[in-house]
Amino acid sequence: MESLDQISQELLETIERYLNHTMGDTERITFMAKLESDTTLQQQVKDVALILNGIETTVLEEKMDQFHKEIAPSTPEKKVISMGQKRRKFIAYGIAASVILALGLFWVFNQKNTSQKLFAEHFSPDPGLPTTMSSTTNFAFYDAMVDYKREEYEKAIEKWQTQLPLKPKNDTLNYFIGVSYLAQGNEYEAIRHLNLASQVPGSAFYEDIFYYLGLGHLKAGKPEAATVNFKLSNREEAKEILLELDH
Amino acid sequence: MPRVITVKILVSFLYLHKMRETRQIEKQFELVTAIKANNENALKQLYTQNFKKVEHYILTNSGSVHQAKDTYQEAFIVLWRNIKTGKFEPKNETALQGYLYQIAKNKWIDFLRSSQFRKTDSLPDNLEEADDMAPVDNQPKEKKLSKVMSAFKQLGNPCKELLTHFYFGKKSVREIANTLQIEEASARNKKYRCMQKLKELAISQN
Repeated sequence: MESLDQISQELLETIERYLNHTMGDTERITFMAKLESDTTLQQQVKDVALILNGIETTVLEEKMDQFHKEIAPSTPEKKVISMGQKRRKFIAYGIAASVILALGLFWVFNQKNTSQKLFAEHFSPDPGLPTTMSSTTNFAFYDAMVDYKREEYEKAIEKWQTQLPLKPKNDTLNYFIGVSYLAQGNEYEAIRHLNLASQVPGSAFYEDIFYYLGLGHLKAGKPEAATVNFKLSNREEAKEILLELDH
Repeated sequence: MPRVITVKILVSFLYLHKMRETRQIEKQFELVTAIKANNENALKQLYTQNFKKVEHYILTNSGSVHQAKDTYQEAFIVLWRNIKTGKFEPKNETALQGYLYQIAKNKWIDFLRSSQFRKTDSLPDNLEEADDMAPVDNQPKEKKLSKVMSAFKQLGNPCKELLTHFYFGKKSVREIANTLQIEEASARNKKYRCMQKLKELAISQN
C-alpha cells in the first residue's frame, strides 16, 4: 500500500483505466511496455487493484445483508382469521368481562405479568441436535429436527407427533415437542410433554427438561410451580431466574 | 407417410428443445454480464433464489441457520469474484446456480473437517470429498484486503457514497457530478482525495 504514497491523480486514473479495461489500444500497449520493466508501477497496480477489490467486496457484503432480509423467514407467519359480526360481538363482551375481572383480580394479574415478563426475557429454544440425515437410521426424527432448527415449529411438532405413538414415553421426542410448543406460545401442551419427558430416569435432558418446565410455568403465570422446577435444574439460567423471582 | 410425419414432429421437438436450451444459456450469459457490472437486481435475484437450497443442505448436516447464512455469503463472494475475473463461464442453463451451491457445499464440508468443528462434534460419515473449486486463501493478500475493507467502513459517509457510486455502481465521473450537482473536475478531485484518505486509513490499520 505504501507504493501509493506519492501517487498522482493522473497515474491513479491511468491504473484504474488499465484495470477496468477501458484503455484504448495505443495507451494500453505503451502502458504494458512500461509495466513490464517498472517494478514500482507493478506494485502500484497491485495496490490499486487491492483497494478497488476491498471497496467492492465491502459494498457487496452490505448489499447481501439487505438481500437477506428479503428472503422469506423460515418461521411461518401467523394465520389471520377473519372475524364475523357475531364473533366481534362475542369478543366485545369478552373484553368487557376481562375488564371487570382485571379490576377484581389485579393482584393475580400483576403477579402473572411479572412471571410472563421473566419468561419473555429468558426463553430461547434449545439449539437442537446435530442433523446428519443419511448417516442415521432415524431419518424421520432428524427430518423434523431440520424444521425445528428452521424455527418451523408447527411442521416439526406434526412430524414428531406421528412418531410419538410408537414411543409415547421417549424423553428426546417429548422434550423437543415440549420446547417446540413453548416456542409457539402453547405452554400447556409444552408442560404436558415436558412432564412426560421428566419421567424418564437418568435422561440426558434432565437439566434442560426442568429448566423448560420452569419456563413453561412462568409463561402460565405460575411462579411457585416454576420455582420448584428451576430448583431441579442445575442450569445457570435457572439459578439466575430463581434470583430474580426472589426479588 | 405417417412415419415421415413422426420424424418431422420429432425433429421439430428436438429443434425447439435445442432453442430453449440456447435461450437459457444466453440468459446465463446475460446474468454473468449483469453481475460483472454489479447490477443490483441481478445480484439480488441470484442471492435470494439460491439461499434456501444451501440452507437446507447445511441444516441437514449439523449446521445452524446462522452458519448457513455465513457460509452462503462467503460462497456468494467467491462466485462473484470468479465471475469478475473470468474464472467462471456458464456452460449449461443452470451453471451459475449449480456453481454457487457447490462452492457453499465445499465450504461447509471444509468447515466440518476443520479442527474447530471436530473439537465439539464427530464427523458425519456421509461427506463427499470437497472439490477444489474455491480458491486457496492467500493469507497475506487476504489480510491486506481485510485492512482495506475495515478502512472503507471507517470512511466518512460522503466519501463512502462517492466511492461506492464510482467503483461498485460503475458510474462515470459525469454521472456522479450530476448527482452531486458539482463540476466534473471537482468530482474527480473529491474521488482522488477520498482514495487518499482510504489508503491512509488502510495503512494505519493494525
